[in-house]
Amino acid sequence: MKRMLSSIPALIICLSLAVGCAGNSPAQTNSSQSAAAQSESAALQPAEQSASAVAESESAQPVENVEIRAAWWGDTGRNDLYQQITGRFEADNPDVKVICEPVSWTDYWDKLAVQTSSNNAPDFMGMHPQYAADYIGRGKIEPLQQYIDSGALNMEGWPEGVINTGSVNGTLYMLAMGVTFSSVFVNDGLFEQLGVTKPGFDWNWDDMKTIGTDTRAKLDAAGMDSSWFMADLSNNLNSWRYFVRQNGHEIYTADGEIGFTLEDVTDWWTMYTEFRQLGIVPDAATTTEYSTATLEDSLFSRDKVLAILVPVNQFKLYSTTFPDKKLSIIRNPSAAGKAVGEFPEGAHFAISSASAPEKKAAAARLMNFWINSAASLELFGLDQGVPGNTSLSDSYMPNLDEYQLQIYDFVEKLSEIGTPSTFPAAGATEVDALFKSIAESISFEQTTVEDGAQQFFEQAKTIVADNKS
Amino acid sequence: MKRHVFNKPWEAYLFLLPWLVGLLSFTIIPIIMSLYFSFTRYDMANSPLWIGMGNYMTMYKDPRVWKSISVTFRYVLLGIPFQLSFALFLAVILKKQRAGVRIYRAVYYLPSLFGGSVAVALLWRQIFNKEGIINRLLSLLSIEGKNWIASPDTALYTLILLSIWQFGSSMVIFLGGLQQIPQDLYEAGSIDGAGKVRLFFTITLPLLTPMVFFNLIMTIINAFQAFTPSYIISGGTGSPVDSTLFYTLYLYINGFKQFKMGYASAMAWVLLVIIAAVTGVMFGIGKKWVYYDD
Amino acid sequence: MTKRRVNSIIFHVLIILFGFTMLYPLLWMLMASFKTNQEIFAGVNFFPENPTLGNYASGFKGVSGYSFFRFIGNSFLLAAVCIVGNIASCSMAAFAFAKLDFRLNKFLFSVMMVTLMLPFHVRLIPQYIVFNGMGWIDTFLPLAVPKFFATEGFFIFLLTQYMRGISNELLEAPRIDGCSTWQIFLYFMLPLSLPGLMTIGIFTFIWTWNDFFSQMIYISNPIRFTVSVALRMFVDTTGQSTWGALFAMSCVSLVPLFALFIGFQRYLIEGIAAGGIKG
Repeated sequence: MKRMLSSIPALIICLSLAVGCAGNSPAQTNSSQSAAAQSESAALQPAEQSASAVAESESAQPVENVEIRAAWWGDTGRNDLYQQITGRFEADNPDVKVICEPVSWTDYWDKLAVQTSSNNAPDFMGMHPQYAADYIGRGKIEPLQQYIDSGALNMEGWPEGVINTGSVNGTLYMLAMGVTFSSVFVNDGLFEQLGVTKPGFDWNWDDMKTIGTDTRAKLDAAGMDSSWFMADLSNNLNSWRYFVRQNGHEIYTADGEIGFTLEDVTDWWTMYTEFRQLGIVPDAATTTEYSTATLEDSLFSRDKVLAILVPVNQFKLYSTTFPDKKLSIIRNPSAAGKAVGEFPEGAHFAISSASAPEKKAAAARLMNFWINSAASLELFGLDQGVPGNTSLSDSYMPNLDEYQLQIYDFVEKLSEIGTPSTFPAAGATEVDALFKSIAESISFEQTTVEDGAQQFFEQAKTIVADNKS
Repeated sequence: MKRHVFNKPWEAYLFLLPWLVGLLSFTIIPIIMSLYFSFTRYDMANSPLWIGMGNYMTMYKDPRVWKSISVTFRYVLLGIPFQLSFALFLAVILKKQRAGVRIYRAVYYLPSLFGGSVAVALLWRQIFNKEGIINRLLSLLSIEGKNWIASPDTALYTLILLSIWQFGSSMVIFLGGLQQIPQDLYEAGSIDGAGKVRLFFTITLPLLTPMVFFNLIMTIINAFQAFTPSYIISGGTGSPVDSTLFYTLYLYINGFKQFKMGYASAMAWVLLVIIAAVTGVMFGIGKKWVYYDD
Repeated sequence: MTKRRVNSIIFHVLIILFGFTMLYPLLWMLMASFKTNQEIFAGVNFFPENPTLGNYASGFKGVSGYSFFRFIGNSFLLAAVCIVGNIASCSMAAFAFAKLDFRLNKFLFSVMMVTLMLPFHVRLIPQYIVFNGMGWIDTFLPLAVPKFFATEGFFIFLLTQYMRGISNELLEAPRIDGCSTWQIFLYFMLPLSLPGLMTIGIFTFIWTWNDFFSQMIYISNPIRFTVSVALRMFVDTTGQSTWGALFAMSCVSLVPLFALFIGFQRYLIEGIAAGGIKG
């Protein structure tokens, strides 16, 4: 019924346009709807493209040609890089054609949400842990074990821990694009200039207070009253996750329940309220103002903060974007005498469960090529962290530049001390938004820490419970 | 009342045919589907689950819905009068044929051409942030400005200014309407010795009422559904502290960020009722002051 | 005479000063398009220190190997089709609402108004499902075809309002001469509504040119990217944004809009002889 109704305009427009189109497209007397729609689409597309499409369809081709759609987020540089990788894959696999669908980070998730509603998600796609639970929980991601069994995906050389970053409840859904850890980038030059001893590689929350206070005093003395030690991370769920883990808990338990305690929230926001009052982190308005800023426009870029929390794989990006700054990498603050916060992180590749079987198989081959072939890793490098396939390291180690070596070292070091974390529960996106919103309200002093923490604790529980039913 | 010229009613439906077809295929189906979704729990992946009035009850208890309604009403009530008077004022000034006027019109229209481009977000921050142009000008007068765009009590006003800045579409519609007013009416008025201001209120404004009415209705409908300004400037969050949380933005957050399309649809229908009520009242009042030549 | 000249000078000075304030953000962007990425954020000067065309070069290189000219071409093509669709379909509907007698006139007009009031985001999902069923995703069809069916209520309303302002007496004469309703519409109503038609044409162009959300949703392959979709690719919060290129291409994409407005405003605003409508 729906289809019939909606095809009425298609027919009418094709009929009405037939006269106009006759001049530049071969006369099509075939009145079947799809053919008409196609000629219509050809008329609307640039002539050059439809011409090339014709040429392509006329050239000899193997019968089992598969066309898959591959989507990712990223900047223009990354798009070019990834397109080269898919290009190399196509050269190796002439029976597969890859259509690239690059989108910027914000738009990527809006678009994927809409596509999912029509079972029209890209066959091969980037997936981020922040959103993965929402898609996996709703059955939109294809489990990968069968492709490993069939040999399409070769997991040789992959450490257990790295493979597991993509499994939920024991089922493998995604493969890591690379392994990375949260880290803190420090503007060494600015510390030297101020005469402040910068935090050591292994530092803790107490150090943050003492060094932060020292920095505040030196900044004020230098007349830099709108600069701070570090950005306000009270609204950063990932940073808080470290804090919760240091207390021996997890935000979510392995079976998808709330795993943190009320104290975990209260202590976190109490600590940051103190940091804010001491001038270690910026005031609320400044934090809000810069919350949407891109890298070039960020607090760090403008020397308004001396240290910043970033996934370590972006070290090269930061170093090349700010050639004038002298940067170094340190750990996230740890908690003296408590558990380790670090856990392996990173973005993943996934396959849409709604795709046709032959497309899924082709997507699995693309995935395998991307993360397991020297030809791809030569280009891909450490863009998303240290590749999971350790047996290929020999092929890319010699090519690493100084920044990549530092990333590599950092990941090596932390892989030894880091412990696996649990996977976010369905509803994690909503919990994340709630966390941000309440943290902001506290920072603007519109909510007290106690009330805010209580609200967050209660509402997070409700959200997770709602998403289970 | 000379409508008897067209006395074959079926002809009207022929003229309406494209619209009717479009209505049935592209508009009614989505509208009915969204109405259905509003009574369901729908996460866009699994089939909708009927929950009756559940979404509407949740809305009633959702403080952020109320917050977003208040933000939206403030945006509508504060933005529209300024935007429209500004547009009308400039349309009247730029109405007359004189040297350079065409360039001026285009120049004043430029901000509207800009739309909701990503660049606007950065531009607006460059103007209204702590170290922005406004505060630099204020510091010349030794006034220390605040962080306009990121403070809960002023952020919404920067978005209202953005909507006023992009007044061009209304201005163009006013300009079109002004050209319809016969010049001889003004000549007659001038002979009677009426001043410019008086001519405006006795001739221009009454004859322009259809366009004023049109602009009023359209800006109301659009302002209630305002989304882009906050989406690009707050990064789609409505921050700081929900002070720019437009109703439609909250609807979008629910639907697209949290996969609660059922709830989002319920919100949409409540908004539809609000807009329809306000517009209905405007149409009712409009009969009294809008001048039609028929 | 001299008083008039003084007035005129004051008028121009004021309008230029005020115009400059209005335009300041855009001029800032124009200047920024000649600065390096660093200078855009670090520099405090309004004028670029060492003007560079590098942003334009990198901007025109485009996205994913497709030059920005292609995106401009795509946007033009889409906009042109939408203009034809909107003008043809909306003028017919508006004529019926404004000038024809039929029982459901008021009711259908209200229905049309109500369709304007449902937020875009909830219509999007059902529409996407419909278009996906027709196999129209990743083509221009979902963006263009509905325009031929008067789905833009705003324009119907605008034209209805406009046509109501046109005197019935002007349409009576041809009727007495034996013209059919269709002929009256074609040969009298449309020419008389030219400014209104120009208005919706120009608005269609601008809206199509600027609309990013639906274009971003429906178009995936970079070969079909439009200007507004491509512009968003220059900014990515997780990587390196090419603000310079964004500003440069934003300036470039304003040129057709600006030119169109200057070129067509004669028809838009002055296209009708004063007194020609109302007797």
